[in-house]
Amino acid sequence: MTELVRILHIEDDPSVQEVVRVSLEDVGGFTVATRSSGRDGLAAAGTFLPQLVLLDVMMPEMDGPETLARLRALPGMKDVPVVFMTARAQHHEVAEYLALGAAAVITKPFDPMALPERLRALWRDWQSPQRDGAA
Amino acid sequence: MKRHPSAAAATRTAAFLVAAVATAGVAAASGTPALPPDLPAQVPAWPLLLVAVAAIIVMLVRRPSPGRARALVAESAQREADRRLLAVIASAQSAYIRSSNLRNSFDPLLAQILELTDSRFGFVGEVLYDDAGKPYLRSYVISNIAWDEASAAFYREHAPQGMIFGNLETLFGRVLTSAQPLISNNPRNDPRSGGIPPGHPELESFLGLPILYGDAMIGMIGMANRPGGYAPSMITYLEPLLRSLGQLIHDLRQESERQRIQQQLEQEREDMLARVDRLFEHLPGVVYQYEVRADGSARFPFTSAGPTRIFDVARDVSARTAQPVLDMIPADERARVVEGMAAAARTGTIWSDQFRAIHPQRGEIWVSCRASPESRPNGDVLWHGFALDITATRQTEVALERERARFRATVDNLPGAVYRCRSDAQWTMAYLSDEIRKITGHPAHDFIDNRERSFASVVHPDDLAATFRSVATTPPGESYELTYRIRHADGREVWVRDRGRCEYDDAGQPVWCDGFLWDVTDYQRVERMKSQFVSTVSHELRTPLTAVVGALGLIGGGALGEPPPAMRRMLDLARQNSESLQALIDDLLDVEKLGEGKLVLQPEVVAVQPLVDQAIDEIQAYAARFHVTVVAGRRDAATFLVDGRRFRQILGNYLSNACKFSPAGSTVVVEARQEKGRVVVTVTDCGEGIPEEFQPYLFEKFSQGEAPNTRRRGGTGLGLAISRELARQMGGEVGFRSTPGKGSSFWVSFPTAAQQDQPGRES
Repeated sequence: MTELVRILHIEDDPSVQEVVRVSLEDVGGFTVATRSSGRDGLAAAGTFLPQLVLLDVMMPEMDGPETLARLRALPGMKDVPVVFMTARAQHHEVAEYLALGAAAVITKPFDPMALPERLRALWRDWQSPQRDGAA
Repeated sequence: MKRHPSAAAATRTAAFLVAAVATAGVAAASGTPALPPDLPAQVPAWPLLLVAVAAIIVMLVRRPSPGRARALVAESAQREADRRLLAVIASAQSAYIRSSNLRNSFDPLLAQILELTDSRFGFVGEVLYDDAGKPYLRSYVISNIAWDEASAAFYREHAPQGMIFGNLETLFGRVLTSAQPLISNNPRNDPRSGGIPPGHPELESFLGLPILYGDAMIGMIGMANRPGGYAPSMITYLEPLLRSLGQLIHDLRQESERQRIQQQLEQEREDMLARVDRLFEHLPGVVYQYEVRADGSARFPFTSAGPTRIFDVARDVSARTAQPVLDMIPADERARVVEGMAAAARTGTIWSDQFRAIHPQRGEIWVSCRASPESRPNGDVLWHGFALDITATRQTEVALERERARFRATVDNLPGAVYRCRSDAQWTMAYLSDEIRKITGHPAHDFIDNRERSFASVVHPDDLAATFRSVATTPPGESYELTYRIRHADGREVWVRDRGRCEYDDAGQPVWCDGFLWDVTDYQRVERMKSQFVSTVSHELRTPLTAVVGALGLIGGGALGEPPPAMRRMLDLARQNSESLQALIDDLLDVEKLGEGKLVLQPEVVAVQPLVDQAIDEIQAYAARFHVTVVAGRRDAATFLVDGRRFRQILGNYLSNACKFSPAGSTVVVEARQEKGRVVVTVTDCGEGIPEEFQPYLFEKFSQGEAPNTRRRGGTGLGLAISRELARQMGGEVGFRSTPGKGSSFWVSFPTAAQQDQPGRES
């Protein structure tokens, strides 16, 4: 089973960027690439080759769902798990994001100390053979 | 009505002229001139003059020859006899013509006949027939031959009306049966005689003569006791008299019959009118005839009696003139009535109208009339009609119309539309106020009974189903309140709020709905803006909060190394407050979503125990701040249908309140019991309790107890309102019991899962 190492974080708010970076790098020990827009994120994906993408939903110009759709069209990005982060996380909204192909939805505000472990658990689930069968 | 006596007399005069001429003619033909030398003064001159002229002509034509001298003597005696006879006839006729009581004319006649025939007594009577066809006699006049007191009394009593003689086994009876003259000059020994009553004067001779009219015997004359008896020549001699009497009796009979029929008709007419009057008494109005003469004058020839005389003008007055009635109708009304009647009379059509009149005692009255005209050749018009006093009805109508106008004015001034509709698929309107035009762009009458369109057709299709659902699920006795969109005729969407109440049938189904709906488009716009604002602000707040909470979490979690103890206290403070801020934002968003019905719940069947335990775990850190212990009490094993996360939110609100309002060191107990098909979860504290005056508002938005330290302990005042709404939307109920000074118990209950599988069962 591959270890989760590279995480691409796309988020337009610099403060949240910083908190997530500290959480994932300092607490979680991941390698994080942070981008401030969907466009920049897509551009980085091709070179950074993230194993998991943490994607803010509400962003100017290109929002989370659109970024996800475009990401899937990129080579090698078809099966990369994408986790949405959002302040709008009602049941129906969560269901909507999952239907678009999100692996999970994390609600803002979130516990930065628990975030790395949560992503690892998610990664493990994603990697497990049952997932394919279940999908 | 009786014929005028003079008219009757004239008729009789004419009849007897014919009789008199005929009599004279007979006398002339038999060669016996019959000129009466001294006419009684009371006899009318000219009919007798005719007789006299005829006699003179006969005399001039037939002069006596010297060879017939002896014969002349006899002829002279005969002429005298004829003269006397003629005088009697003339006298009888004259008396008959003049007398107002025809029977009285026989009295002098009998006297004259007795004198003429030298008889002692006699009678004149009419012959009648009984039911068996047997003839009998009724006297017109009879000589008073009373021989004792009894017979005198009998005579006095019966003679004036006519005595009846029916014994045919008598001399006069033979005349009745044979219709032939009868002479008996020895009655005592005459086998035809039936004898006479004891005391009756001796009958020495008798002459009975039938009086004929045509071939019919209609009367009889009887005379008796002529000295020397009666000779057959007497019969011939009296023949002209008999003929006159025949005519006289015939006329008398006809006149009697005419009078009888007249009286009978009169009586029948009066009876009929009385009957009609009695019938009309039961009518609610007056049946009338109204006659307008060609000269313009008018009267009521007939008006029925009855309790409602309307104008209270006496019938005999109104039968003469209609003026008293017409005077009661105000000029303008009268002009219209007269014009309407004239038009109907011209076309021969039925006229009907309602008009006002001023009754001298009752004041203003209203009358409804309907009549058909009958035009007469002389230009008169006779109306046959029916009049009804409609004053009471009219007054009711006027009062009702006034009330309606007042109601309409009130309703029209309302800032919305009042309605009454059927609870059917069309929302069929029975009543709708005019304000609906502003709301829908269509006039109210378009919607009544779905004439032009149904109300359902203007409700936004996306909202229509919700209107039916809301009304159908409103329990009897409770009001419904709906908010939906109307598609205005000009294409706009109009938001309305609709509040009403239904009437239910025996099966508990709504049948009629009465309510009020008003335009809340502006309000709705502001509400939406507010919601949008709150939503936006909340989300915008969350982003920086995410950073703050995240940063504090990283520090608190030791990701950046261990801070000094003094710094850690400050950092904890910052973290707690950022969590409070987060809770506040969550509450605000929840309230908005609940208010708009946009909160999406995901109910599933879950066990109550784990949820309670989880909620207790989640509150521990918070409780520790207030030095309160939260423990689980009795927990029944039960399942129910809820959105687990939202159920924990309700419990979390109860628990955080309990912690806030409990004294340090106290314990908060959570219990979950299964009672009567419901799961009841209770949070009990030992706090100060809730002041009674505040209790009714506890579950309202932004409410908080007025306890002096409430504010100090913080809170948004939204928690309980959210809890109640969440519980409601999941089919649950909330409530509390509180004793000020001794603490409170808040509970939330839901049907058990088993109960929810049986929707028909009451819970």
